[in-house]
Amino acid sequence: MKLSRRNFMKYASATTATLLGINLLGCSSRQSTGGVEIGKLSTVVMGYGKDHKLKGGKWGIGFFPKVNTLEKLVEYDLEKDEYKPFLAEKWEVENGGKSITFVLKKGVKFSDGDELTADAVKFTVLWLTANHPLGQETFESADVVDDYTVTIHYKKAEFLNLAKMAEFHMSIMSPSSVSPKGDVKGEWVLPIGTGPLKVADYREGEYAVYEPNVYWYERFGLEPNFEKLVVKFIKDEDTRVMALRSGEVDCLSDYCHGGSDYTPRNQLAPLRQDGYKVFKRGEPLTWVIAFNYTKEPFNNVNARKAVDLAVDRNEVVKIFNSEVYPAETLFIEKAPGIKEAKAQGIVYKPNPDEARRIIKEKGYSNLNVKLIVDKAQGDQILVSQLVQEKLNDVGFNVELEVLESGAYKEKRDSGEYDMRLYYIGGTDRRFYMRLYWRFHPETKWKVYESERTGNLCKKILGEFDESKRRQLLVEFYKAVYEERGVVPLYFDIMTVVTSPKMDMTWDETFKWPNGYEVGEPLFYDV
Amino acid sequence: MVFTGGGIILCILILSCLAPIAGDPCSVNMDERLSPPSFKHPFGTDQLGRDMLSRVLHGGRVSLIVAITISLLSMVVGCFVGAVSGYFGGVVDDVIGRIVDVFMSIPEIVLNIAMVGVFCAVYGVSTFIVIFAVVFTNWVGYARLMRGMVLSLKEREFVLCAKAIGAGEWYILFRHIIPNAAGPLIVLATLNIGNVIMTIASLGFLGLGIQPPIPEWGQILNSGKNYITTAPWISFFPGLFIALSVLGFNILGEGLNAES
Repeated sequence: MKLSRRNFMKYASATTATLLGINLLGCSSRQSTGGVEIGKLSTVVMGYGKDHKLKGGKWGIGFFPKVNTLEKLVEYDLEKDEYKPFLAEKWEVENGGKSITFVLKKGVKFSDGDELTADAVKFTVLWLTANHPLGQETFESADVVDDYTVTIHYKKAEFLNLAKMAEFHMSIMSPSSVSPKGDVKGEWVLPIGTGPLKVADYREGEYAVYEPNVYWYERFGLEPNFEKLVVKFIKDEDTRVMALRSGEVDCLSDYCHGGSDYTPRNQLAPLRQDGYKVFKRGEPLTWVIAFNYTKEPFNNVNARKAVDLAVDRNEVVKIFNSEVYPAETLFIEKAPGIKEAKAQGIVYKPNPDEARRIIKEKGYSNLNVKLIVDKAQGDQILVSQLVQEKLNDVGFNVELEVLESGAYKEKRDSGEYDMRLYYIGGTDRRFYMRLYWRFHPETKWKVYESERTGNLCKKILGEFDESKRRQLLVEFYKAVYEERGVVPLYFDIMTVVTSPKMDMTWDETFKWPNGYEVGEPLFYDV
Repeated sequence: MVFTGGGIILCILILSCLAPIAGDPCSVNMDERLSPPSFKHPFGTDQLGRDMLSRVLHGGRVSLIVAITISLLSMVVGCFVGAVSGYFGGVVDDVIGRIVDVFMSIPEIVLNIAMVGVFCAVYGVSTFIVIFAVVFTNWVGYARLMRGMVLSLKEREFVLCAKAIGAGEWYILFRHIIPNAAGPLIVLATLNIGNVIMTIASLGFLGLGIQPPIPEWGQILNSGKNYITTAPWISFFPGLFIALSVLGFNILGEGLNAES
């Protein structure tokens, strides 16, 4: 068949128009996963900076599912310094703390319908002992006393054992989380817990989909007001904010661990202005200047004191648009023992003139000191530049090294630095755990150690009596202050930002329905 | 074109030389943070209250010095490799040709990111590593041009005459061939500086280049991206200077090319 020029043009035009049409259709029919209609069952889409690691890893699944799909035996009330019943209704400490017998609440169900029994707690303990670094250093064994009573035996007799039971990592999971069911050496499948959410779908590095765990809602007498919670993993913080503004996601949550992968603090005010809701909570997570206290010049308290006096914390918080809080004490005021310590005058205050005097008197003038910072912690680069300027102003000569994470860790571990920025504390549930990790003489991640602080730390973590522990904490804060073991800079916050159409409140974000306040954002009532 | 391009470059160079007059680029003043452009701070201030004019001009010094250094080093390496390849031919030419093909087959920026990433992870970030990484990928263009020039020049009468009177091969290469290939190489180098400025700025923007507190255009541009709606001047001025300097070098290169 011969194709005339006229026909060729006709067919070519038709084909081009069809292709253009298909392309246009493809562009405009973007799948909409977002969109909340208040009062109706719907899908809520969240932007989150970290993968939820639902397939597990060295430290298990991510912190978000550890808080929202699994629950702990106990919860921690930071303000009262009290451990409260959660999955366990009561407990008894035995053998000076080497064993704790937990009595479980009855009628609690996992998201797959199985009942929570002592066997599941024993399975969790044995699984953690076999597979998890914290489990390996903590547990010895577990005995089932009856269906709802379990005795956990620990390696050491200390109060920290109870504190650890409120930890992320000690969340109770169903034996069905592994295959074959209940085999502690079995293959990890998915987290199955008693928490408000259950995993519906997961694609590594891309998204996780959660559905309400109806048994949890029954337990608290609530009705879920959403069908699905889709969590998109968006690493870049600016992209997350843009996704919220464009309507691609309905809300943003900070990384539950705290300290990184958060909504940029300088974006919170403009978001508020534009009608977005910002829920914020101060955490006992303090960013500090940590010293290499094993070598000159910071093996000397005077050098450390000069650094402390040189830095104005009110200036540091301006970097974060004053959304975070200046740290005049080691932890936020509601942390145990801080009010008492403050009353005794343990307050970090700037005094550049005194810093200059110390530097001159002790011969530190123009002394070269190296401040290292991890490039992955973007805001810390700005903080470190401010610290550098402030220290140079009083007479030090600070060399700032911004390093790739790998190079940073290498220098940190080999001691090739004089100062670095780091954090102590964490969300509420980690208060004692981090005290252990940062100040106990035997841990790898400690920021400071002296005989005095080390002994006090050991005593605190061993003391079950709340009032004695508080007294020890005040002594500990005093010791760290007098020795200027670290220089606190600011208290971090945890935020959740939602679009105006979402119906969340602060209480629903940071409190369980029974009124227990926690440091991590909760998503049972979106 | 030569005058226009040269004029733009000259202006930027003069401004960069005058950078110390604009003040200390690292001087922090938290009371003046995020101030918009004003008489006191013509380019505004950044999130630490540092004067943006001073930072942009000091950044220009760093960016231009690094870019010119990279172009010169790339030219030296590329010329040598290309000249050897073209002049000696045979196996040497084949081996160098395949190496060049390998480099050409990978996008330059991807190779730069990989190089800087690997070296920085091991040795930490330094200006030397950035220079090394960019030179590592940048010499190829010079080598190809030089090889072509040598292949044509080595058959010319003055080279044959030099051979006839017994001049050594290296002598002929360095004394007769390379100087005669200089014209097109200078044009390429001029055009290349613009590309290198873009590469350094791209690496800086990605956080892989020169690190704070040393100001560098790409890095300043990146530091302003969080503030693009509230303090756009942090990104605008380094962006403008990157654009102007690339434009200047490109116009200059095109002009030299047209004149040659």
